[in-house]
Amino acid sequence: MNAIEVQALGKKYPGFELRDVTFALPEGCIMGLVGENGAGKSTLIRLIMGAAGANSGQARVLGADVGGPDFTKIKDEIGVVLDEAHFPASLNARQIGRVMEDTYTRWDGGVYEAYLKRLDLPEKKRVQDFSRGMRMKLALACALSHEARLLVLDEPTGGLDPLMRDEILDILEDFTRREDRSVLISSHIVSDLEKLCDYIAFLHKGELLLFEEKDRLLEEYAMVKLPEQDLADLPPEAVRGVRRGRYGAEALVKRDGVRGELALEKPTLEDIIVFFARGDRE
Amino acid sequence: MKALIRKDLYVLSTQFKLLVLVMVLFSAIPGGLFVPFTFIYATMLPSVSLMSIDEQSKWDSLALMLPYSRRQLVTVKYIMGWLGIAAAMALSVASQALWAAVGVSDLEEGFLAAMCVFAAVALVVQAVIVPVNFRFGFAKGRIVTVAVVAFFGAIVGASIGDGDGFYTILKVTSRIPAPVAPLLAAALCAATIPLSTAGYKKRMEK
Repeated sequence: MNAIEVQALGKKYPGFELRDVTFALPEGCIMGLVGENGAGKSTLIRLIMGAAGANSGQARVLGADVGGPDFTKIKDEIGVVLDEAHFPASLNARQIGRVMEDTYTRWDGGVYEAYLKRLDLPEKKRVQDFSRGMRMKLALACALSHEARLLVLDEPTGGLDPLMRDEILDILEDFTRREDRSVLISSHIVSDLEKLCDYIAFLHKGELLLFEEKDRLLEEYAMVKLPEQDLADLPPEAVRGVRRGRYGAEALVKRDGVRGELALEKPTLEDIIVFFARGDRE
Repeated sequence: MKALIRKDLYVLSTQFKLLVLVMVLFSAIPGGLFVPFTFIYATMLPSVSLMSIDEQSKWDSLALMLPYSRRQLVTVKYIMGWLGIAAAMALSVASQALWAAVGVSDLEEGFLAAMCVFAAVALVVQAVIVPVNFRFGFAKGRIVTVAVVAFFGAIVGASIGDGDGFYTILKVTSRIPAPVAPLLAAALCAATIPLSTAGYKKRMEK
């Protein structure tokens, strides 16, 4: 079963369009959604969660049609963390816990309290007095305390220091130890996603340029450094992106599309994303 | 729905203590002259206070992703408004009855009927301002809110300033059968829930 299935999904706003997005995230997998600011990551997440209606296409989450009558019930099995905690600032963690207890049918107060302790979050301090990192941890504690089968996180690590980001990534890794749990996480910090994800989706200017298993992606592509005049010798269909510099050129190529004698280097996920975007620009 | 009511009650108790205190004070002033203002504050509960906090904290963006329907997110604000009006009425009747019992002031004839009419007016005001705030958001909606509340506030203020005006209101409203006006107004108010839901959906699509 797929945790998320999206078929030709589209949404138009004045000055922006999300076009024809199609992918399927198998249950038990972690998908990283990468893209620059304004690429459409949050829009896609809003569509997947039914917070906005699509102009075209369809989405199914945990087997239910988004926008269908049963989807509100399905949300009971989804944990959500947005780029900010978005809880009323005058409430404290204990009050938010009580609200969530009435919200989710499988809320576990013990698990929530354990997360508050593990994450060093005071129960009686108002959210308005929390740092950004503490707010994100509180949102995460809420998302993880109701036996969710799917976590949807929109830029949860943005603006956080490396230590805090690492702590959050550790928690997400813990969450996915059970095989039936899936995660969709958007970020523009590619290194975070490289550590965590099974699948990578790259959204660029409202278009899904890439959706692939991370390991396959890293195997499929390679970096090649060569003099600029030799670029013309590369088969155009194998080249995905090019960067020209003072001392030569770099290209992201498909391994099986180029001659064996070229010195190919293993790319990082960030290389792949950057060169895909450059290729698109050129 | 219980979760949403709980959340709004928490917000009221933590962030709007002063508003609640002012409501209590106005309802308790002997003679009942300031009771209409209690109802004015009650009408502002759902839109001016709770909806603005939801917007400021972006709770409304998060709530759409939690297991609540849009209808529930809208209806809870109506319920809070109705609870506010019911509280205004209960506070006013209880405190004025108490003053009458201890001989501080008299309970004017027709006071209860007037309370029903005030409640009805408050419900009509809600029926106007809540859909506007759901459709356009608090930043734009507050202009309408302030205009409508100021209009009714001015009428009440003028009637009190006139000296006998308030008692004239009591006399006139005492002729209206007590439960009729608030029930009709409550029905009108409830009828605007689908309108608010549609307006809310349209706004949150952006």
